Amino acid sequence: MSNKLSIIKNGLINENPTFVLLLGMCPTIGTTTSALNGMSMGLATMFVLICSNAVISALDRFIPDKVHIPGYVIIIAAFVTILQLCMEAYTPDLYATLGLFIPLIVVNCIVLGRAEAFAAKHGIMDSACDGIGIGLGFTVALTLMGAVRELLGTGKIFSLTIFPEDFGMLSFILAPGGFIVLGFLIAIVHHIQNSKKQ
Amino acid sequence: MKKVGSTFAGMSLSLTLICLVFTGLMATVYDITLEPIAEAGKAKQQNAIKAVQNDFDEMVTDTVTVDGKAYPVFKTYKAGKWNGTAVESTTNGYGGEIKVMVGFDNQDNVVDFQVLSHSETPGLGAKMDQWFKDPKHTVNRRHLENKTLKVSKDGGDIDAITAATITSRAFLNSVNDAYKAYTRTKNN
Repeated sequence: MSNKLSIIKNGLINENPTFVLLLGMCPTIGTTTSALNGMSMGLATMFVLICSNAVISALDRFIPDKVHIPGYVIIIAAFVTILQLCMEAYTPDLYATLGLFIPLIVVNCIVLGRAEAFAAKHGIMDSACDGIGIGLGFTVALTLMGAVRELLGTGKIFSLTIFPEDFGMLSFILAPGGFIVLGFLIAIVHHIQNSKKQ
Repeated sequence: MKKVGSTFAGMSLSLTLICLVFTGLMATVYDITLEPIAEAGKAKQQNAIKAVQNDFDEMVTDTVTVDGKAYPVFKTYKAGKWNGTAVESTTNGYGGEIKVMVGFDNQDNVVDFQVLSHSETPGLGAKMDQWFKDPKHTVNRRHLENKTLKVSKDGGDIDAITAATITSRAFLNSVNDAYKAYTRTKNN
C-alpha cells in the first residue's frame, strides 16, 4: 500500500508534470486564464490519464512494439472522445469554456509520456495510481497557475472578488502573463525542493 | 504469456482489434449521449430566446436567407399577436466565430441580445456581453430602421471595446445582419 502512495506522491511532487517534467505546456498556458478553468482541465486530463494508463498496462503485451504508438493513441483518443461526449451532454456550461481544449488532451505529451514511461512497464493498479498522481499534480499546478493569473489579472479567485477589477493587470490573463507566472512558479517549486535536499 | 511479436500478422491483427473494440466503445457512448446533447443545445437556445425577447406565449421557428447566409429566426407571439423576432446571427470576430442571439420587438427596436459562443481574447473582446449591455454604449433599445450600427471610429455612435475594435465591429455587424434577417420576418 505504501508503494501505491509513493507512486501517487511521486507524480504529485517529485515528478510534477508541469513544474518538474515541464510537459503539456500548451494546455497549461491556454486553459489557466481562471482558477476554475485550470482545475477543470486538470481533472479532465486526470480522468483520461487514469483510464489510459490502466488500459494500456493491461493491453501492452497484445500490442507489438513496432506499432505501440498508434495503438496507444487510439486508446487515448477513445477515452478523450468519451469524456468530450459526456461533458457536452451532462455539463454543457463547462464544455462551452473548455470544449476547445478537450480534444487536445489526445496529443498532450503527459498522457502519451506516462503510457510510454510508466504504464507499459508496470501493473494495472500501479499504472492507475501513477495516473492519479500525475493527474493530481497537473490539476494542482493548473489550479495554482489559474488562481494566480485570475487574481493578478482580474482581482478574483474562483470568481470571488479580492480587489476591484480596475486594478487588475490584463496581461496576466493573456499568454505573456501565463509564461511569466509559469516561470515564477517553477522557480519557487525548485527553490523549495532544493532547500529540502540540503 | 509472451508479448505479441512485431510480425506483419501480429501488428495488423492487434491494431485491427484495438480499433474495433475502442470504436465500438465510442459508438456506444455517442449513442447514449446523443439525446442529452441535443437537449442541452435546445435548452440553451430556448433560454437565450427568453432572455432577449419580451414576454411571449407562442413561438414559430423558421430560417431566413439573406445574401446567401441562412439565419435561424424565432418569431414570438403574445395572445396570438406577433410581438417580435429573435435572430441567431454568426460573424467572424478576432479569434473565430461569434454567435449571438438578438431579440427585436415588432417596431424595429433591439430588445436585448446574448452572446451564445465566441473565442475572443479573454479580458478584451471576451467582455463584449457586458460592454454592449452597459448603458453608456449599449445596443439595447436602439431603433434600427434605416440605420446601421457602427463603432465611433468608423463614424458611428457606439464606443468600441477598449483595445478590441475588431471584436466590436464584428459584434455590431452581427446585430446589423440579424436586423436584415428580422426585416424579412416582418413582411410575411
